[in-house]
Amino acid sequence: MSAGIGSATARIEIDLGAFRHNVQQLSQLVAPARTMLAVKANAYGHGLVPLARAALESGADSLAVLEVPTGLALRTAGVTAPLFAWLHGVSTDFAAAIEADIELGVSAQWQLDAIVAAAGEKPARVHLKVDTGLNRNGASAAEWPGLVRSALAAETSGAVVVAAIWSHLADASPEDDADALARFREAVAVAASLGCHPPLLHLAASSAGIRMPEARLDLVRFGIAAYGISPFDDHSGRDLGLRPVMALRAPVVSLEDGVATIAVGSGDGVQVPAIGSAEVGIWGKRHPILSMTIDSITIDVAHSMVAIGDEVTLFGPGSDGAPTAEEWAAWGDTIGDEIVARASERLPRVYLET
Amino acid sequence: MNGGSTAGVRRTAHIDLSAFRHNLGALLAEDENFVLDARADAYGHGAAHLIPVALLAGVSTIRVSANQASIPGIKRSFLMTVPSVRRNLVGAWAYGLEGNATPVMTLSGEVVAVKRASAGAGVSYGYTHRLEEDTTLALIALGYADGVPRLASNQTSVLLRGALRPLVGRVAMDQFVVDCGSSTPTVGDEAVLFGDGGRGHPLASDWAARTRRSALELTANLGSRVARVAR
Repeated sequence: MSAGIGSATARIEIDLGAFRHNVQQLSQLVAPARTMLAVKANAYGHGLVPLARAALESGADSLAVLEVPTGLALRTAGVTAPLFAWLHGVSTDFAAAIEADIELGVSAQWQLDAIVAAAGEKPARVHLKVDTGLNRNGASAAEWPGLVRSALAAETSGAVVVAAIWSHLADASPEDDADALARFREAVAVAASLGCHPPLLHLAASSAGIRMPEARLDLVRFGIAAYGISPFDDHSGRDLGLRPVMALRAPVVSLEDGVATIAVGSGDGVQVPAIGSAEVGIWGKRHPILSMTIDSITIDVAHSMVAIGDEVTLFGPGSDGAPTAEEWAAWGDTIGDEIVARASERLPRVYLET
Repeated sequence: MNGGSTAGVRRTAHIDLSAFRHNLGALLAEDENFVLDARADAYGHGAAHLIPVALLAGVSTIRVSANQASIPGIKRSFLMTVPSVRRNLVGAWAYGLEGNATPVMTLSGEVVAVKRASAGAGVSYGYTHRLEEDTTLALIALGYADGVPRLASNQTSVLLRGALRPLVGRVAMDQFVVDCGSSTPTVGDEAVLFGDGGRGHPLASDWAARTRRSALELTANLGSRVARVAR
């Protein structure tokens, strides 16, 4: 199935068909809530622009870009859908963001002040963020009324439009997430009592989007699940009807005494702590990894008919007998998100439609 | 992808060329024939910055990864992509990642949020850390997508405002949290993850040991959102 350009060299294959399938499944699952697809961090390592386009063609109607430069890159590529950025530094170019119609998460007064200062004729569309327990971004309960009042004042002056209230769940226990949802509803009520009634509320990402229907509200921000990786540790992506999107494949480049070598190594984001447990797939059969250098991996192929040029799959869809990114995550004591987001930036991405 | 952009958050790996020259000088005095190991883009330091410096310093041969077998402005005869059996290959020491060599890279991230939090509160995904007392938390805009290993969760420290502050809770894709105690940093402050022990920075080798990899494997996997700034 992987014949085609580049199949003879080490590469990362991106199955756009699988991605479209996942986005469709997830957006249908949460409808009538809308789907915002997270394409931050180079679309979790898959490639920003092709994945952004495919998401918008498959059921997502907006994109979560994390930060302004990523949004600007999508605008330059001709993407016109709503974009949402929320991680800002003191040098973030809010004027460019507003000009490019990038909607902005606002967690703190300093961000609102900078956005108001940058606003020109066009108001900034802002999503006010309240912290519901994660203790990362978002206004604390104590800061929240002040932030809402400031935003309303900025709305009156024409600098901003308050488009949404949002937060982020900790994906801890169901009880913790239920507490966070209650805190979110409380913050929405506080905002309403101050006269702030934005048309959009969003809280859930992949985990709550799938198994906490009451948290779907108006919109779900799907990330990892759309890339075919489970947000849960007790169910695989396949259990959820999702198809892994990324595969890392490389041909055998040398063979000696039952040991095969491929030109992929720790410099390609292959998890060092996984070595010792990790396996690869060749012709549908598992083989253990023996060692790894920065540029290469050796594989035990003793007593098998492996030849130079044969294709080795480090991880892929799982349907071919080879490991999945989720298995690599377990071997490396991490989560599948890190396997794909950190996958080699020096290997070419090859986009497939299946 | 946003490396070097001024439009967003700052993520910077400062590359100290004089430290690199200093290390190479010491190595050349021991063995003028050694091969500099600059595979994986000089282990994330940036081959384009470092190889010209190495050649000027007198290094005769540089081992590179196959995808960097040709580098603009560098004669191919200086580069090799296969091992040499007769000559010493030197990597970690040249980058100041072992022994008493001077560290070449300093990795820093921007403080993008500061908040007070109460005893008992959980921090980051899964609430793997609970605060023992009321404190101030700072959010740093670097995560595992940038090559900060998720295994660093609750394991490492950063230098912020002159003091070492522990990383608390899970490292996320784009951010992590440090506990600042009674100190209150300001948004825009720079937190140093690792760099020069002589300046009070944590060491890359410490981060590496706590995340079950070598220091070279740590620096080699820093992502492209981190701007490499040579000086």
